[in-house]
Amino acid sequence: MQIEIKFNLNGEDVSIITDPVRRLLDVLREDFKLTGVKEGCSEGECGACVVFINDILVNSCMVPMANVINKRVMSIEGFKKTKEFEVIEKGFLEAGAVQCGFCTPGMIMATENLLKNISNPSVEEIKEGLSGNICRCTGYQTIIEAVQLSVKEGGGLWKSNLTSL
Amino acid sequence: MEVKSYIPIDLEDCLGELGNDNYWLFAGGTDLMIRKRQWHGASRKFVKPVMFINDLKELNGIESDDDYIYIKSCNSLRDVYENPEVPEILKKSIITMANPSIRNMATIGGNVANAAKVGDTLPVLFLLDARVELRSKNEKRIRKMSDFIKGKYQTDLRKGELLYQVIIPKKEYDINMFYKVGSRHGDTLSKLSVSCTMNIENNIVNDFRVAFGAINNKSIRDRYIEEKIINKSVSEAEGLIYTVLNEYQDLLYGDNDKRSTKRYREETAIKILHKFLKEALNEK
Repeated sequence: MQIEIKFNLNGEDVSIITDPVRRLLDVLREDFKLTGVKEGCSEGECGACVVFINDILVNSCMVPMANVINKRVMSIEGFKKTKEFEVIEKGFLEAGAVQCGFCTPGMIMATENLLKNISNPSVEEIKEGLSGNICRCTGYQTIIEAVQLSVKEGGGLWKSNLTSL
Repeated sequence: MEVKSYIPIDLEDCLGELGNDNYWLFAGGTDLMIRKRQWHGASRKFVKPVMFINDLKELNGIESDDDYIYIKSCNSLRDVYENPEVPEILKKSIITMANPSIRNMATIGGNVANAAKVGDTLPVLFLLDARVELRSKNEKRIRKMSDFIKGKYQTDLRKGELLYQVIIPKKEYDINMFYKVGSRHGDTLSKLSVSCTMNIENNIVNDFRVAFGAINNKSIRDRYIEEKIINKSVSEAEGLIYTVLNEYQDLLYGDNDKRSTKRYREETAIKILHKFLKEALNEK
């Protein structure tokens, strides 16, 4: 069954005719060629496919297109245009937190989600914030340092101070 | 193969259509998208029509009155976690589930209606004496959680019905614990869980509740055993600890499976309850 689905993708209104059960991940990669969104585990555990829908971090491998109708989707390609991305990117580069790079877009999106909710997280909170992201190269220590560097570099860019992720 | 999809505009539309076909109800999708997967990169194999209910306004939001909290079924686990009126012990179970991005999508209704043996909110909802409200086109009925959940992936949900909301009685729990045992700290499924609450006033145990999850196919709660130490003094209750533990032992029928063994599940659950009882009764 094919229907027209309209949504906002990285700030631009788009529409696509597709099956409503089709995964957002596949639409982003195949139809919109946004390959920063990766398919890892396909079951919501590795975090390589995470995007923001209406500013909420979700795994695009679990989202059917029916649940995207009239919503705002931001992938790593859209987030790349923000000041927050620049700061996090610098943090990851300086900490040497990128090895093979497959998990990196997801790690960066999860870092943004964490800092948006807890602007100055403890190490435990960083671990919890990134608990849905797996690095196959096991470079977790440098990734934690990258988040800490981002906080330092951000200089108050993230101001909210909620208590949950 | 593409299947029929239905995206209702409101609850009335949803309930009107629900009885017309054998629909999968799709809310957050965090369980269904895994169960229906095929191979890497392939589309999900839905063999039945799918109805998408996640965005229905009537199935979102949390309300309360003097006596109850009403959690609509499509609230995400994060929504439930962040609500100040939700009992602490339910929040303690939610924060052990999956990871932040999954908790943003997975719904309380999905966890309940799936009735998975490892659903971590289920034993807590048993403990809290929660009820579920079920709705169909022409009927509304309320069932106790313990009656609604019939077994592993088995519920009392009838054709044409959906889980409208979870209703939790308001009550203060002085001491509460949710202890989950899994293979790792985060993003893990339960080998077993133990949920306990206790209220003590003037050296008398006013209330005591226990629920075990992920051991039997259905969460375990037994008011008869709980009442053994209710209205007893703290020292009398201490003297009954081993009686209580032995009676719970008889209710546990764990399985050997990929996550754990029957023996580990049962022995560990009893040890956790023992520790809770010793600490709770010694605290006062």
